[in-house]
Amino acid sequence: MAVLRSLPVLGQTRPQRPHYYGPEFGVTDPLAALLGDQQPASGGDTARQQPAPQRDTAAVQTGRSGSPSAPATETAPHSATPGTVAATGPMYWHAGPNAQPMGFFTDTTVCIGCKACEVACKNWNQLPASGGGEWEMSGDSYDNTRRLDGIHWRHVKFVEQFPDAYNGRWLLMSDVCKHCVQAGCLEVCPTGAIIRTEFDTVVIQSDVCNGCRACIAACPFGVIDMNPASGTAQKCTLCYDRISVGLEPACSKACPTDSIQFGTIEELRERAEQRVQQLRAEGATDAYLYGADPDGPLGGLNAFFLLVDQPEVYGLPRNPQLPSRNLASNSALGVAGAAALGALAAIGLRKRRMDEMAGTHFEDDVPPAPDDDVPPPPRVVT
Amino acid sequence: MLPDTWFTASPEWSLYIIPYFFIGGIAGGSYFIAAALHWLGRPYDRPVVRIGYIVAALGAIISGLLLIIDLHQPLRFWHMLFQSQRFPLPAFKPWSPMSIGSWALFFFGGIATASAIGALADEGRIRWRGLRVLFDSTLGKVLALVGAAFGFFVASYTGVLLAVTNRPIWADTQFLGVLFLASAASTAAATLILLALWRRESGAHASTIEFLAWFDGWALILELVVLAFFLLSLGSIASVWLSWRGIVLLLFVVVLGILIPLTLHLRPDFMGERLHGNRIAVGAVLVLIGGFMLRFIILIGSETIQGPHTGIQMTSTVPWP
Repeated sequence: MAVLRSLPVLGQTRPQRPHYYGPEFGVTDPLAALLGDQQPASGGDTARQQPAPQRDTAAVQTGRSGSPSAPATETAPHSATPGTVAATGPMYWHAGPNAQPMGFFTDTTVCIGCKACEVACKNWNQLPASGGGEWEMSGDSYDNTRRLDGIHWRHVKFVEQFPDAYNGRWLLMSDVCKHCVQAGCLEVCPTGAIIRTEFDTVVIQSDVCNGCRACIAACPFGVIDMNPASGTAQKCTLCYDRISVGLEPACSKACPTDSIQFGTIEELRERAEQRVQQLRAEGATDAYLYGADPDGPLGGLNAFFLLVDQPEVYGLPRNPQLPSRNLASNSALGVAGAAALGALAAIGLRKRRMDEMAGTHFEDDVPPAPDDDVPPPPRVVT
Repeated sequence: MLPDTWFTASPEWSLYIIPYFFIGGIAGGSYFIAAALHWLGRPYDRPVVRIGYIVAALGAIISGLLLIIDLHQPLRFWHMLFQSQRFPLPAFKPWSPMSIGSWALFFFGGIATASAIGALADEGRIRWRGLRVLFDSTLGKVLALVGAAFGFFVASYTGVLLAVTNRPIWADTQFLGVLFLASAASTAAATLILLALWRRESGAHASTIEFLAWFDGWALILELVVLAFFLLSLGSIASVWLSWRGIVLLLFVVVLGILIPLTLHLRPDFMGERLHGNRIAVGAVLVLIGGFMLRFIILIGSETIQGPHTGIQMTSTVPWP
């Protein structure tokens, strides 16, 4: 695995990222054992053989930010020679008060549709099997997951473009919560269950959520859904539990082609831009970034994508918007309607009183003009 | 190009939420009609005022129960009102219709219950006649004014709540709040008409019922106009109505729920002598059916739209290769 990870992918050497787990840090990644990605005894990965960084172990264990004496940017991996960056600096990202915005860059051009990310995600987050473990086939696609929902927080979309029997291509895209900088779900959640974390990610607190499902309708990407096991709305947490102790999220950790990359937003944007330039130089002129622009829709997405076709082809909205765009206009018209109805009732009752005084009320059914103090005997329309 | 609301997931608000939207609308509408009769009506309107407050209170209580059982974690219903981890700090987000609506329904339920208790005491159904002060006094009138404001809110915020999402139909219009409000007014008037006719012994006066029928007619006209604006405002997504959705909307909401009751109202001899005596009652029943079907088709019409996020785009939207 370590050898695979150092191989160039489509001409690009993967920037080596340090891993801050292992016995000397007091943090062991259970997922690493699962992936057979254990600390090598000797040779192979230079980065992992570096001595422990001076960052205090306790901070990593407890998730505190530790000593901020050496900012993370000093050792941003992309700025160093691959394979040698290393674990000479402090933790690659900060947790706690010095935390930076973190996210995913998903390069769909190198996704092979292996669904390792889906499996790793379900495994780490202990998500239940779909259909109670029954084997469910979609029947019209090689993709049997079909969509993100409460028990699938990563989903490899298979866009199967086959105009005829001899031509065609797959577009593969590992989809995930976009962790929008302006998040619609967070905006509408009435309980405060949805929060923005110190990593600028969006997390649903399952013990606060009461399952009202406002966030499901509010998400512009259809990411959130109910988890029947918890009875709450759930979605990707960007592995908050892992990244706050210095572990990479499960999906990006498991991704064999580095289609999913995890890092600080700043660094990921830079890396993604380089990748787009590279692809364009090689002739893939369709390549572009979806959601990487901080001035774009929703203030940018903290999980953004490199795509090679229109967003709609991948099932992504071209211009995702916040639900609150409709609040003021709908409310104003509602107030106008209330005023109209109030005026209507007032006019109707005044008209009736005038008619009564004139004695012209109800040609065939005129009640005697009632005295204010003595109600007339009950009369009912037949 | 596909509309941006096409890529979202359905919240599956249906089984309990459709009846809630219907009953909540009737509750809010009943309260403000009753309050209008309380403030601006004549003493002979009082029986219907009392009915209106009682309908509002029962409706608010049923609404709350429907909303609670709709939650997937019903015991956490109080998280809507208070911060669960910092009780008793309130959970109040005025920009979230569900948050502000929960509070509004909470206060509306309280006020409507107080008014209804006053009304029951006024009728002598509650022994302690001192409670009449909640109805037949300045306090009762002030309660009616505040409650009417909450009634308007409860009747219309449900439409705004649907609009403040990213779902097709709901989030593609500006007219859902006012549409639900107009429908709430017409269904509430219809409910009050039917109850007034049914509870003859309560002394509902013919003049009150005529007023309710008049008000109902104008609310229906408002509803029809707003419905037209609503459909026009949908833009490219309006094509979803060219399906069973459009048939339900046209048949049950427009024809059965609006046009026939309006005709009955304007032309009492419509459909012959047989109906003549009961035209108001028949019209009211049709208005209730139409109001329910309006909520049904606007909710289910959107819930049944499954965007391509669930399926596979088999061909590119741009020519390929």
